[in-house]
Formats: sequence, C-alpha cells, structure tokens
Amino acid sequence: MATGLAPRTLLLAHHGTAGAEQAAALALSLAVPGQTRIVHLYVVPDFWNGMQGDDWLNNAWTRDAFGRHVEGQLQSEAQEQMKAVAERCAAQGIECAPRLAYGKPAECLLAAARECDADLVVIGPPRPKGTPGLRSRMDLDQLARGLGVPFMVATAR
Amino acid sequence: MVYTHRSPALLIIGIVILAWGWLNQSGTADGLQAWLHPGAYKEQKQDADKHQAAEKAAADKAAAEGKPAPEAKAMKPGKFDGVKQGQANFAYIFGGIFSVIGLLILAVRPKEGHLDYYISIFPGMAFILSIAFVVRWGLDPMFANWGKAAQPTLGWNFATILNLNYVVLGIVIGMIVVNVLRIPAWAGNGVRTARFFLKTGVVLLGTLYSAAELAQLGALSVVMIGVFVLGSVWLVLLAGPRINATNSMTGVLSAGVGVCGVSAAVAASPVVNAKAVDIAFTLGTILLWGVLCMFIFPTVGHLLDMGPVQFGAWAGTGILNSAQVAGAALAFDPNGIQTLKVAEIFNITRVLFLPLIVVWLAAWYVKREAGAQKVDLGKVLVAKFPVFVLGFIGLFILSSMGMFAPAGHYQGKYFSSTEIKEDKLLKEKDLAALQAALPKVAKPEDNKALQDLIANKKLDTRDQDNLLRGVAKMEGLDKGAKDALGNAHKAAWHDSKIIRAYRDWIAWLFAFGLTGLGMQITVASIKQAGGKPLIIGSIVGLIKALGSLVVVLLFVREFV
Amino acid sequence: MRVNGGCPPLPRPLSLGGRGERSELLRNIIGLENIMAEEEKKFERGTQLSIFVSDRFEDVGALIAACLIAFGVLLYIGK
Repeated sequence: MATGLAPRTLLLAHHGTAGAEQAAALALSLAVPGQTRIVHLYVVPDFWNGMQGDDWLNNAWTRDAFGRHVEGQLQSEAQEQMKAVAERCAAQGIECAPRLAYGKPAECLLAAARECDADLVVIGPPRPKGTPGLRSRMDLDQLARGLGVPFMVATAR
Repeated sequence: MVYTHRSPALLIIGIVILAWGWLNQSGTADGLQAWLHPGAYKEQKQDADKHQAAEKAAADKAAAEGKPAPEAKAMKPGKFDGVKQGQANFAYIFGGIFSVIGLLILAVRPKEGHLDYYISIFPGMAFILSIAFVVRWGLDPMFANWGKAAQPTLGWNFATILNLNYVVLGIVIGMIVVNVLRIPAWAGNGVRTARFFLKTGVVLLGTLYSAAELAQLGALSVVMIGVFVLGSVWLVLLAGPRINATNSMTGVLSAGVGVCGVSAAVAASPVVNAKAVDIAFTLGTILLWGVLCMFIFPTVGHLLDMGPVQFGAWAGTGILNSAQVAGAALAFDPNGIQTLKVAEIFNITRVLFLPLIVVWLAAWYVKREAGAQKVDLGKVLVAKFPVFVLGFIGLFILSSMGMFAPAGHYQGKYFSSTEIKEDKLLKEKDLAALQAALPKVAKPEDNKALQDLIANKKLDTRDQDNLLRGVAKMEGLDKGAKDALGNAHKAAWHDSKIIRAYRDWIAWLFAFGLTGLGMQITVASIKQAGGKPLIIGSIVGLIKALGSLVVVLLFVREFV
Repeated sequence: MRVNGGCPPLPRPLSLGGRGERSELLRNIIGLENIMAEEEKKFERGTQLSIFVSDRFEDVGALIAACLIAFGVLLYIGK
C-alpha cells in the first residue's frame, strides 16, 4: 500500500480466535511504521453477566469466589492476547494501543471506532459453522450500518 | 451510589393492585371472576338458590300455620366469595405497602445509604409480585378453563399435561422479561431478592413435615442421591480423560452434572481452576438441560400417572439443576404441596452432598494436576455448608414439638376425637357391618379397638386408629366394614387451617422466587452450551434421568 | 456496553460477584487507579445476585423471615 494511503489509526478487533489471527495479519500488513497506530480492541462478551444463571443455593462468599475466579481467568486471557498483539506490532515498529471493552462485540467496536477516531477497522472472518467456540458473534449488519469509516474483513483461509 | 430510581412505577403498581382489591371487594369484578372460576361460581349460586328456596319454604310454612315468618338466616360465605375475599385482602396489604413506598420515592429525594438501598428493593419486588398475581389469579385459572373446554375435542387436557399453571407460566414470563423486554432499571435491585424468598420458602417448608414423613423421605433421598450423585460424578470423572477433556473441565462438569447444576459448578469452578470457556460450556449445558427438564419431567410424570412421592423422588434425583427441581415439582402438582415436599427433601440432600463433592473434587484435582494449589478442605466444608438448611431443620423440630401445627399432624391433617361432629358419627349401617366383622378379627387388641369403635361410634385415640387401619387391610373383610372403618378414620382427621395457611405462603414464596430466578436465565448463556461438556453432560444427564425413572417406577411406592 | 479510555462511562467490573470491588481485570490492564479510588469511597453494597453483602446474611435473613411468617400466621390464625 502506498505510504500516502496508510491508515493513521487502525482499529483491530482481536480476541484470540483463528479468525482474529487472520485479522491481525491483515492489519499488520496494512500498517506503516511511524505512520499507523494500531488500536487493539479486546471485547469480553457480556453474556458473562448471566453466567451464574439461577444458582440460588450458594452464599455470597461462594458467589464472590466464583466471580473473582472468572474475572481472573478472563483477565489472564485478555492480557495474554494483548501482550501477543503488542509484541507483534513492536517487532514491526508499529505503535500499539490496547483497549478493553465489555459488552456486545459490534456495539463495543462502534463505540471504540468513534472514540479513537479510527480511519480503518479490521476484523476477522465469521467463525465457520460447526467450529466450537463461545457464541458471541460480531453483528456485521449492525457494523456496516453504524460505522462511518471503511472496514475490512480478513478472508478465511 | 444512590440505588433508588425516582420512577412512578412502584406507585402505579401499588394503585393498580389496590384497585384490583377494590374491584373484588365491591363485586365489580364478579363477571370476570365468574368467568375465571366457573366451578366455584356455579357451586355458590346453587347454594344461594337452595338457601333462598329453604327460606321461602320456611316462610310459606309459617304463613300456612299462621305463625310469624322466621328470621332470615345469613348464608355462609361460599368458595367463590372466599376467592374474591382472599384476593382483596392480599391486594389491600401489598397494594397499600407499594403505594406508600412509591409515594415516598417520588416525594423524597433519596440520599446515599442503607435506607436508600433497602427502599430500592421494593420496585423490583412489586414487579415480580405483580407478575405472580397476574399469573396465579389470571392466567392459571384461564388456562385451566381452556384446557377443560378443549378436552372433548383434543381428547386430553392440554393445560394439565403441558403444565400450564402459575409456576411454569411465571418462570416463562420471567425468562421472556429478561431476554426480550429486559428488566427495567427501577426493578433491577429488587429482582435480586428472588433467592432470598426461595430460601425463605424452603425454611418455612420445615413446618409441614411430620417426623415420620421426614424419616422415610430422608432415608429414600440419601439412598437415591447417594447412588445417582456419586455415580454421575464418578462417571464424568471417568469419561472426561477418555475424550481428552482437561482436568479442570472434567472437574467442573462432574460437579455441575452430578450434584445440583449451576450452584455446584459455581462452587467447584475456583477449586478446580476451571477455564473461562469450560465454565461457559458447562453452565450453558446445565441451563439448557434444566429448562428442558422442567417442561418434560412433569409431562412425563402425568403421562405415567406418577404419585407425588414417585415424581418428587424422580425430579429430585434426575433434574440436573436444583432450581428447576422445585419448578418441576410445583409444575406437576401446583395446588398441593405434597410433591414439592418430597422434591425439596431430595434437593436438600443434594445440597448437603455439595460440600463433600467439592472437597472430593479438590483432592482429585490436586492429585492429578502438578502445581495445583492445595485447598484447605476444612475451610471448604465450612464455607460451602448451606446454613439455611439448619433453618429448615430448626423449623421442622419446632413444628414436630407442636409449636406451629397441631401435634402429630400428617399430610396437613391432624387427629382429634373431640372435634368429630355429630353428623360424622358412624351410622347404623356402618355399625352393623362392623358388628358382623367382629368375629373375623382375631387379635385381642384389634378386637378391643373395634368393639370400642362400635360402642362410641367414633375413634377415640390415634393408637386405636392405627390398629384399625391395619384391620381395614385384612383379607376377607367385607366392603361394608372396610368402608365403615374408612369413614371413622376420615371423620377423626381434620384439615388444619394453619397448615393450609403455611401451604399458601410457601406456594407464594416459591412462585415469587422461581419467577425471579426465571429472570436470571438468559438465552445468551444457554447458547454457550457446547463442546465436550455438551456431549458428556447430555449423556450423563440422560443416563441419570432415565436411570432414576426406572428405579423410582420399580422400587418407590406412595408410602407417605 | 462499557468501553475504557477516553470519555465514556467508567468501566465497571464484570459484576459477576464483587461487592463494589474494582475488578482486577480492569485494574491491571487500564491505569485508572485515581478515578477508581475516588469511586470506591462511595456507598456500594450487595452483589449482582443478592441484596445481601455478607456471606451468611441471606441464609440468616431467610431464617428470620420464615420465623416471622411462621409466628405471624400462628398468631393470626391460631393452631
């Protein structure tokens, strides 16, 4: 890509899946050292709010312990992913700013694009049907209607 | 932070409930109530017609004899009036409380602190309670009527078979609210009281058991739960490594599938260091199974014509998630509490097994996982012990000492010879049948008990009743004598008003709690069911449900 | 939905359990200690699932409520 067309702020949605890895590779190929800043958005999906379901037997101590445990797990997963992306960016001399959001992926991406003034958004391809994983998909329709900047979907290999 | 939302919602709910009370009290809602309760209405109307005819006959007779007309006697309130009065009383109490607090919320600017916190709970409670009112007073009788009306065409009563009663409808509406409409912000804090009221219901349930019932059910539940809980935990621990599931996934799944569903998975996750994705898969699987079982179990129970003990034992053992055990038991038998009583004993036994299973899993995980942190087993046992079960046992002890219910109550009835009414004494025909049966009763104490019954025309003591219950089952006794013994037994056992009141309270507490819990079951979390936990969980869940059904059908009889 | 950084609302913990405690997840990843310390002074209680803040309060509360109902009915109706 010509230097004149290099994005200044590239928003990368990445949370460690195979599709997200393809998005990261695409983002890194588009970024130009010294000109592009990659904002890495890591979304923790908000279905976790309902994850204690209808547990009614445990007391507050047990529920707190569970909450802290899940938060700890999500935290270490997020940190691991953010560190990995930051290292890959650093290896290419590209500035990287991690962002963490909690909510619905598309809503979080729209808000983050607005706030960080992104001029390009890169996401991974939808997970192929039948592949195991958490069910929290990016609403592409919502994204297409809500984003004011171009967005690219990395192709599935 | 300030928790109370300045919203007119609570005041509006309060006024609407008060208005319903007034409509019932004044008779304005009679048309609607007659449509909802056609049986009670018809019965009362027939009684009123009979009463009027008797009054008229008495007046005509007096006139013919030239005497002054007798004073008109007031008619006893009928069942229909009872329904309306009950609803009016409830509506006045709760509508009044909600209106006053609703006014307070609008009039006074809330300040941060405890008062604000506790006041913020009321709008949510009113929200759940108003759903419970609509469901119990409106939808439940409506579906019952439709079920009966459609029976001749369909050939089966869809409302009974599909369990479209207030418990199921409450849970379904709760789930619709959270997943489709969203819980309003002003109600958010109060919805969290659901667990508290459910636990209150379980503790209060302690007042309803007799010592004999608890002993029998306790023994059965320990055997059934012991076999099926330990069996399914063991099965998952065995299957997990064989399909290359990680130790933490196997650990959290075995607790969830084996013991009491979501609650057990929540308790065990930190102990076995479960990964976030394992937790999501497991809890999704359990919630999916729980919701399905709550609808399928009662329907199967009705189709197989199961009794309360059989169904309670089956649901209490076979349903993965403990919240849905209570739901299924009430769905199966919404008006009596008999099935709930059985199922809750199983639930409590499961809960008591939970700390032991968590300790077992902790030890299992530490042994298999190098570098796993050792857990203080004693601390786990104390921390996981369900204290509310002690409350249940406390109320049971007070109750069996005769504190709340009449001493020696059994299934909501109590024995009293002195309260037997004149018209319930044995008739000549009964006495003749018993006299004829006397020579056949060989045992001297049985014979003496029968002679006493013939002499007194009624039962005197509970021991005498027990002896004659045995006699009634004797072979060779003719039907007349058996009927007479049955009549004597029925006459001596009376319905206890206080037990009926406790049953009502318990039904409301469970309806409230389960509707509130329904509001915490999100489709987004159910959708996470997947991966290996879905496969293992479904296989073990199915084995447990079918296995416990077979055991219950083969070995459990209606003994209480 | 909550997003950290910039001017959007302060990110809350995941609200899975904590009693108004700041989630470690957010504490470590983002540097908002100052704002957090300010917010922690505020009155917060209960957990996402219970109105009670203390470990055993819900159980003990249920026992007290059940006793109140049991004795209330006893006084009102009699045995």
